[in-house]
Amino acid sequence: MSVHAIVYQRLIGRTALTALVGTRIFPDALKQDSAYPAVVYGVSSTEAVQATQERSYRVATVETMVLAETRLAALGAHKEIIAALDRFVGSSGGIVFLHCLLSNEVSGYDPPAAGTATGTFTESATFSIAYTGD
Amino acid sequence: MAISSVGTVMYEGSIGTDPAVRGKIKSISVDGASATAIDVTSISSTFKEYVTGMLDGGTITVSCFAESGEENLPPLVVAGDNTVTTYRILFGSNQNQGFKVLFDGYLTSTTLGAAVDEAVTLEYKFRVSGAFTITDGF
Repeated sequence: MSVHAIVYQRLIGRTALTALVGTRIFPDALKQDSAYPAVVYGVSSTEAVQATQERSYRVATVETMVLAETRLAALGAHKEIIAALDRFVGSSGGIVFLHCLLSNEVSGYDPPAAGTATGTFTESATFSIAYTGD
Repeated sequence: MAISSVGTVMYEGSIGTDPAVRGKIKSISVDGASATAIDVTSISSTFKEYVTGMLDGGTITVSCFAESGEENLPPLVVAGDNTVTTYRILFGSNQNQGFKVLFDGYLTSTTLGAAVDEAVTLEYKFRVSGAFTITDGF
């Protein structure tokens, strides 16, 4: 089990989110030709916190992004991601989440690419996750 | 040669079997002995003059990350305790390169702390009773 896997479990297990994006929840990069709205998530960095005898815990930074054709759709899925992850405490497969806290949110818009009619609305969130286990 | 803090531990009683604190140690501070300064300046002195008085072994402060589980709850401070406990702090993990601090004392306070986006912490304070010794190696 990994932080990636637990974050995925939390997202795919939230029915209000899958009602909006289906199973279009991807690690690290959007699947080519994926329909919208879709969610991309990734662990961007991990910092180890040391005690004198052994590593005590780690702090991972996890980023999520919703891509959608309308701002409303992006915001709807974004809200469900926050509900699934913010302040989550739990364990699975030897990984224990001590806390998972929302630390940053960013709205964005990518203009239409050549040959397309609409741009992409994005909603991003950054979470700080303290956890033990490998 | 410098000594890495990795492997630093604190025991009461037997080394290796009786940890002195619960939680994972993140820092230890040995304040060191201090002496009272007795002012013996005479009226003819140009500068203040002192002699040292009684020595005080000081305090030892240990900060830890708290761990879950009932067995990891911090011990309670005992009132009216007059039986000292012998504590050993082993600085560094290498027996040949580290050093040992040995002292008799009492646990005088435990402090639990929590802050947003931080681990729960525990801080212990020990009062040194009498002298402490610092010896090379474990």
